[in-house]
Amino acid sequence: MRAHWRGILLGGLALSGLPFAGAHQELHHNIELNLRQMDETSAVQLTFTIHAPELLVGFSEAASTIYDSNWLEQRSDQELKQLVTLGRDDLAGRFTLRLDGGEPVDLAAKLTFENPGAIRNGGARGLPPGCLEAFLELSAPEETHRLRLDHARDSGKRLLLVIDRPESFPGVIDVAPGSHAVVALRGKTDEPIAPEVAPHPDEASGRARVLAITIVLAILAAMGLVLTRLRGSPRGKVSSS
Amino acid sequence: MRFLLVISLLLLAPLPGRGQLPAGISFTEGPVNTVSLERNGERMILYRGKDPAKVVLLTHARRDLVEAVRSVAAGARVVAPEKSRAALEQAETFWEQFWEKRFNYYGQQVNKVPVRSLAVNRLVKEGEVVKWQGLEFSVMETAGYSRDAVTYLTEIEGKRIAFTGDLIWEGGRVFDLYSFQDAIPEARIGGYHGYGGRFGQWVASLQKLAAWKPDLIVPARGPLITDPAGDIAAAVKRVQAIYKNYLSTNALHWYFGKERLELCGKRVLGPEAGVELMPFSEHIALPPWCRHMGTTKLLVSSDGHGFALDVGGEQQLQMLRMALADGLIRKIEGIWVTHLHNDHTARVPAAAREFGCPVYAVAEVADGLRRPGAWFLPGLIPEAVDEVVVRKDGENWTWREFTFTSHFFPGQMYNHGGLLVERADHKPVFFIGDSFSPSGIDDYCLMNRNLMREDTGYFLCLRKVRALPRGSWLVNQHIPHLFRFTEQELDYLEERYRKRAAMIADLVPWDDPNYAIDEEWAWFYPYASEARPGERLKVELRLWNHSQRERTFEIRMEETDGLKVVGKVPAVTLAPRTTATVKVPLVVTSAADPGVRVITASLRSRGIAVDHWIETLVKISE
Repeated sequence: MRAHWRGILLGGLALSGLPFAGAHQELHHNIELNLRQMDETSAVQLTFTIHAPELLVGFSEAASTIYDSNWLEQRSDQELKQLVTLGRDDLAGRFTLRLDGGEPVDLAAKLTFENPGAIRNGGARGLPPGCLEAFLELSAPEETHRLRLDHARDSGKRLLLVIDRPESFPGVIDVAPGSHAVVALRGKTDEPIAPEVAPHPDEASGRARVLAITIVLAILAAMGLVLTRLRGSPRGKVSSS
Repeated sequence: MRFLLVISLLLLAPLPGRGQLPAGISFTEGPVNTVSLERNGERMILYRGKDPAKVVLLTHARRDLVEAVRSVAAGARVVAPEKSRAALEQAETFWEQFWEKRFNYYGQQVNKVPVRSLAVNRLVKEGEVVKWQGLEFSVMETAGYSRDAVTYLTEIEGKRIAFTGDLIWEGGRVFDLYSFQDAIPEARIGGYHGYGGRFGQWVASLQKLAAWKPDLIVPARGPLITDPAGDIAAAVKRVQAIYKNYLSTNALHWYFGKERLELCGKRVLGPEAGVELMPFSEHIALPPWCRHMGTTKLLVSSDGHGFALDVGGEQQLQMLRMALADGLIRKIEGIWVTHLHNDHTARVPAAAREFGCPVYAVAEVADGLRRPGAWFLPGLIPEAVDEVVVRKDGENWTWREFTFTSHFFPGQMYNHGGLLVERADHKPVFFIGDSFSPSGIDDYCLMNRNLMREDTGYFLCLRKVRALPRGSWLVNQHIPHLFRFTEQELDYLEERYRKRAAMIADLVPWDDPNYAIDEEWAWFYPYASEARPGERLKVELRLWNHSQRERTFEIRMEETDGLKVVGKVPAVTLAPRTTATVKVPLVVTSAADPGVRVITASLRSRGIAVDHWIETLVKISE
């Protein structure tokens, strides 16, 4: 069965009529990359989930609303419009997308949002409390192979990039601020073009330690070799001149 | 005559504060201190009082303080902080709403809210002055221990006196730590992740008070403070050390990064202070047999069967449905629940029904799943799981090619389990719920009951991690990686954590710091019940003796309209570090009106005296 996970997901949520009770939207940014329809549409669809209270300039208000599942529901059209503007700028400043090394996608111009009524209804459709969504569709003709996503260094939290491919479990890439991910747009997850993630500077320190230890070991080995050779050479032998 | 004089001196000598307070002020220590000022035949009361008074000054709206003045407030002019308005004027509404709000709850504010509203004549804020009988009481807002607190400053006979409520305890201490939980706006961190969220405000309030140079501090609890400058300096130093230590082992470093934790640090430690953070531990990708679905993990057997660890929300349930629909798995054969937060449990009941599979958990988690309304903890779902198979600590069982070992794992929250998963082709993987991240410990919410005891809490978790087979990996439900700590990293975490426990012991007045960490050292089970008029209720009081000595607790129920205690509640003696339950026979009176009632209990033990301390809710139906 080749289903659209997201479509069925939201359909199911609407039917269920149950509030999504998930918490901890504070922990990660969330983007879903849908590659299920690539063969038919040659289009990449991205859905960005925005935790709206965190967009507020004065976080004191956000703090009191951060876990309130009714908060978005109670916003006026004008307030939701402002949140959409803030959300658009926020995503454009946080993420850079490129197809096959091309020019960065103009996120600020291309992101679309739902209308205020649909945003208010997000909770009933199963979106986490205080969350709204932004959508992006990118044309990816057959010669397009990779999508690169750069995550701004000052982004403040990690990104979980979920990739939906046909007949596969959703794949997840954890993209730390200041690093990037490259995703193969075509093929299954078990094909060799696996997503790549550059190490975050903090994570790199671990690798740097390993590298340093390797270098030290190599130097010690080289010194050992030299010493062994020196010991093996006749005592008191002086180089001929 | 001489005999009477000696007796009088003996009676007067032990009274704390005598000889230090100006004439006309009396101070008696108690569960809440009794403070009265008498002048020109009139009386003013702070904190507690029984004799009629003209004026009552409230420093904040904590329940026991409000109840301590309720009887005198009836005939007095009551002055209270503007920020206490909602708690004082809308108490009944708070509890009516709390019947629903207690579920999926992440407010993380102490529940010691008045049971009934209290009429207030004047609400005051920073800089205002209350005048009474020739004295002036300046209002200084001193948030920190609570959001709403003020201090009243006055000068009598040349002595500068500060009435500080719960701001500070004698000796540079404070009553508890869990009251400080709050959002940290500077770092854009919400209340749930805000351990010591008001430490910054507390330090600022203490420094503001110190700048006023009080000669004497009259607190709501504990002895008079005769060395304000010394005690304030000691309190600031202690809390800064505690917070620096907390940041150094913090799991949130993984999620939020160094910069945001530095912002958290600066507000408590000062603008120039640096923070020390543990570097990330080794982490690699999950194996193909473990799928990350939001806060849910799915184990997939080689013959295509599935076993879920948590079912966090509708989104995760739909992912499981899709995996079945796509033919990626044939069947879901079981659900292990790591802990009680709703981002791990919200759709467990529905998933269990739909997939017809058993739900497994350790005993400490199972009851919260079966009877969520009986508990009050962060993030509980209202819906019960019909049946839970309880797995004992250390119990082994097999599923497909996997061997499971269940563990009680009181990390991120006390009601928490861990599942060690072993299979022949992989190093063992220990699913530790939300208890560690590659940067440390998930102890940011004290309402989760992060006990700092050698026999439980994170000390037990660290011992269990050390005892894993060599090379074992850990998995956090939120993180799509395997990770593991080296021996040195485990040493670092344990040593820091032990140091923090000692630091907290110095900061709080209890004989064991866990009373100051664990708001639920005494609680009612069930936390909430429903009943009709005339119906009897089965309620018990659960007590934890955190002390390292035997304790006897006496319990006094504070009756409320519509509820009556039938008979006497017996005292209970607990061995060191043990728990006990005491049956509290309650009946709904036959004339009780419908609505939510709150009944509280006061507790006494040697060195512990707390009034209206814990509550149970009863919803009376028609």
